[in-house]
Amino acid sequence: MTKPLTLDDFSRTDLDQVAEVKPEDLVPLPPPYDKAEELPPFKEVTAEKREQVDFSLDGFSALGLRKLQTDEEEKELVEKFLTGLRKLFTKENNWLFLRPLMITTDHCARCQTCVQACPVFEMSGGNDLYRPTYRSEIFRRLVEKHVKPGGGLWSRFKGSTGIELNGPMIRRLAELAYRCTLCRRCAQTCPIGVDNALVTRELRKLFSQELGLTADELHKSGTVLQLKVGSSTGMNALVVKDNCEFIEEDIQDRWGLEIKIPWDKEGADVLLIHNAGEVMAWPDNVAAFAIILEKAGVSWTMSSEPLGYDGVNYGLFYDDVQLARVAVKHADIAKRLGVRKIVAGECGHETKVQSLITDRLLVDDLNIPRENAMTFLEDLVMSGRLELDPSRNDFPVTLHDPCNLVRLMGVVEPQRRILRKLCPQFREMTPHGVENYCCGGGSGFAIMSGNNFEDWRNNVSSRKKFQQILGAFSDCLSPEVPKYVCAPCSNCKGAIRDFFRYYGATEKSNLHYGGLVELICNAMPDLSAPFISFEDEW
Amino acid sequence: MADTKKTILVVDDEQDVLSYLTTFFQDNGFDTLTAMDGKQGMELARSSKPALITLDITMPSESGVRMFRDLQADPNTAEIPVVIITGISSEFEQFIRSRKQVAPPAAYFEKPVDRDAVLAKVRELLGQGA
Repeated sequence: MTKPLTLDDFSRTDLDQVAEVKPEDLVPLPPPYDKAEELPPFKEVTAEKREQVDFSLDGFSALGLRKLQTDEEEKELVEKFLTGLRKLFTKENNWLFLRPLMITTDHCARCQTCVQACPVFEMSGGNDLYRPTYRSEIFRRLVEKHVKPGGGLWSRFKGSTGIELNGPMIRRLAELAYRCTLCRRCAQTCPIGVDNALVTRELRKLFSQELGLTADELHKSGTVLQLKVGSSTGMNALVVKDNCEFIEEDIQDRWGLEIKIPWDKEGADVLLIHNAGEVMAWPDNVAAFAIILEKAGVSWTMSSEPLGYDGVNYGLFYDDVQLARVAVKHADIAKRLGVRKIVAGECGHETKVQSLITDRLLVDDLNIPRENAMTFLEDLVMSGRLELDPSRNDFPVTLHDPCNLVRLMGVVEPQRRILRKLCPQFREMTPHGVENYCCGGGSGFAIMSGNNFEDWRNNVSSRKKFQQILGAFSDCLSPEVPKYVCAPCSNCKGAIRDFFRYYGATEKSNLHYGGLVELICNAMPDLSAPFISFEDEW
Repeated sequence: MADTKKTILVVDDEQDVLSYLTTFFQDNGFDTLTAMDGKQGMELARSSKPALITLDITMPSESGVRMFRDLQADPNTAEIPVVIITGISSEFEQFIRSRKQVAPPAAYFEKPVDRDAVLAKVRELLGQGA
C-alpha cells in the first residue's frame, strides 16, 4: 500500500520524487480506450536530463527548472521566495488580489469538499499531491510562519513547523503551481468561499515576478514575444495579413464566396480580435467569422497593429503586470480606430481578460465596450439576417464549456440556444454549464509540452474531459458516425486536438472538434460545399 | 573535376542569424548570399538564381510568406528549393504545408535549429548525399 503523502514530505531532501503517477492508478476510460498497453508509454527521461532538470515533484516537469549547484544559489532562492511571499500580502504590491487571498488563507476549514470537485485529483486516481488543499495548506503554513506577525512562535505552537523552507521545496512548489488548470471548480464548490485556485495563481505570480521562474511558453514565447513582435505566435502584421489572404482564397475556392477581410477600418462597429493561433491552427474558424459577419452585413474590421490581431493574454495565468501591458494595448488600438466595441473571437481567456479582469484597469477613454463572441453570434443567428438550414448539421454534436467563459463568466445559454436551433442531434455532456469540466489545457497548459509535461496533460488533466466526451456520444461511438465536439475556445481546441491524437480518437471513434462559427456556416444553404468536411483536421 | 561551389541565399531579418547561417554554410563548402527581408530576397533570387534558399517568415517590408508565394509564381525561381527556418509557432508548418495554393516547402526547421540536421537536409536537397 502506498504511504499517504504528508506535508512534511514536500521539503524532504532524501526523496527522489514526492509522488508518482502510475498508469494503473488512473481512472479507467471506457472501451476502446481501456487498454493501457495500446497507449503510448510515458516519454522516457534520460539520465542526463534528470541530472540537469528537477523532476522531484512527480516525475514530470512543466517548467524545466534546473537543479541548483551551490549553497549560495539555494540561499538566494529562499530569500527571494520569502520577499515575494511577503509582497503578496501588501496592498502596494497586490492591490488586485490581496483581499480574496487573505480570505482564502485565513478561512479554510480543511473539509476537503473541494477535493471531490477537482478533475486532476479525481482522474489521477486520488493522488494526494493533487489535492487543491495540499498546495494551499503548504502555502498557508508558510504564510503563517513567515508573513504573519509572530508567525514563528505561533506556528511552532500549532505544530506546523514541519515544512522546511529549502531549495527543493521551493522548486517543487513552483512545479506544483503548474499541476492545476485554474478551472476553479474547487472555488465553486467551497461552502465558505475559499478559492484554492487563487493560491495557485498567486504562487505563479510570485515565482514569475520575484524568481523569474515561469513556463517559457507563457512568458518568453508568450507575453514577451507578443509585446515585442505583435503576437505570441511570432507572426508580425505582414505574416498575419499574408496568411489571411490564403484564407480569403479558401473561402472563394472551397465555398464559392468572394470575401475580403477588412483591415484597420476606422469607425467600424466591431473590432474583431481573434486569438492569433486560430489563423494558423484553425484557419476555417477565421474564415467562418468572416463569412458570418459579411453575410449579416456587420460593419467590422480587424487590426494589423502589433497586438491588435492577437487577443491572447497569457498574463492572466501568471503575471498581473504582463496582463496589464497587453490589455492596455488592445484597448488603445480600439480607441484609436474609433470602433464601437471589441468582440473577442472564440477564446475563453481572451474574453475573460477583456470583459472582467480589466474592468478596473481600462477606465475613461480606454473603457471601450467589450463583448464575447457567444452573445454577439446569438444576436446574429436569431436576428434572421442569416439564411440557415439546420438539416445540414444533422450529426451528433456536443458542447464543451470553456471554464473562463462559462463557469467564470456565466456565459452559459447563448451558445446553447444557437446549437439547439441549428443542430438537431445536439446533446449535453454530464455535467455541463457552470459545472462542466476543464479541457485539461486550461491556464496555458494547452501550449505547454516541454520535457514530458504533455504526457501528464493527456493522461491526467485532460482525462476527465475525454471521459465526458465519450459519455456524451456513448450511443454512437462506433466509427461509422462522424461526431463533433463544439469547443468555442482556442486553448480548449488545442488541448482536445492533442488528446484526440494521443488516444487516436478520430481513427477509433470518428471524433472531430471545432468551434461554434463552423457549425453556423455549415448550416448555410448557399455555400457551394458543406463548410465542415470531417476530413481536413490536423 | 572540382565541384563548383553552390550558392545558398539566406533570408532573415536578424543579423545574428544571418551571420550564424552564412558562416556555417561557408565552412561547409557553400557560397552564400544574404537578404534581410522578403523584398530584397526576391530580387536576389531573381538576379542570382541561388541553388537553394533558407527563408525566415517574420520579416519587415515583405514577409517570408509573400516571398514564398512569389518564388513559386515566377517560372525563373519556382524550382529553387526553399527551406523555411523560422521562430514562428509550430502550427505554421502544418498551415503552409496544407495550403492548396502553393507547393509545400522543401524542408522546415524551427529556431533554434539543429545545424547538423539543416546541413544534412541542404546537402540532400542539392544532391550531395550524406
